[in-house]
Amino acid sequence: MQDERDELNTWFHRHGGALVLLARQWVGSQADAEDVVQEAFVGFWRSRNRVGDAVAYLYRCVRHAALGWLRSRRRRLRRERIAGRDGELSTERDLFSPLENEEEMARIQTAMERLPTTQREVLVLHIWGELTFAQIAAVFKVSPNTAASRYRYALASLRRQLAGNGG
Amino acid sequence: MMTEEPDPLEAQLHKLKPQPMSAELRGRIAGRISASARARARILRGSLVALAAVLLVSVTVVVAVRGPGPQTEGTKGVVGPALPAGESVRIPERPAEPPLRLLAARQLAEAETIDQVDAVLDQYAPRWLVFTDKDRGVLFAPGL
Repeated sequence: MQDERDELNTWFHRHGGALVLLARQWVGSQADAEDVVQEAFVGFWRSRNRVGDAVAYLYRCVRHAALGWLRSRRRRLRRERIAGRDGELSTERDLFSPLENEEEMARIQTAMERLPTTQREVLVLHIWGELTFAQIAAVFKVSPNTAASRYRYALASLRRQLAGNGG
Repeated sequence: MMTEEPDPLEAQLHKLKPQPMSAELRGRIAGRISASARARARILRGSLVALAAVLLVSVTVVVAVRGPGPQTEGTKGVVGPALPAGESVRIPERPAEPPLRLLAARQLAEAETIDQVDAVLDQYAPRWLVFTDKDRGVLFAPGL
């Protein structure tokens, strides 16, 4: 039991932040992203020993749960629109821990938000999840070359945006 | 071999650290996982109890249907003294009881009236084999 708790803490420590960050690429608010990660993690924990690459599988679980959340939210918004209620996505901007250079952080975050979701996801998985392109390929069910290309496009796009903003 | 220069943008991105997973979220996940493990253990225990009950009922039904087996007297043997070295084992002689087949044949042979033959046949009929012989007609033989 203690071993399992230690193992759980290792997973939290190693991937917790990146998992929530990945969920935030789809889910607007931190609270919703945490709910998504919770559901995904509980499911992952039951089957983690039956999969080949557990790390890639965990990120795939979170992505799958986030997409499921998004689908149900769209249905809910449709119902709320019909009912005349407002259900807009929250746009909190607290993805990263505060840095000394807050202005720089805000610029990068804004530039990231303008990236297509697929490129943003690859960026999150490679930079903050520290997944290899082979693992990212397993998450998205694409080839490693495609994963690497998306990453390169994301960097090039970010670079253009930051240069355009005087960076 | 050439080494790639680290991309300044990548280095800049690496400086950004995602918000760590909150303690509250960690607690929620750990709670859900342990609750799930407890539920699985309960289901496993329940399944084992149900399986044991099914086995017990099956064994009881089989025993009830087949009835009691041959009754044997309890073995209350007394452990005797060990055989002294060098002494041979002597098997006591016991008059062998004739098998039922022989008894039936003997009683049939000794029967003097048809009533006696009938009595012998009635006694052993359930255990006899019946066969026909093209020359001698229907014959009965003890199938014991």
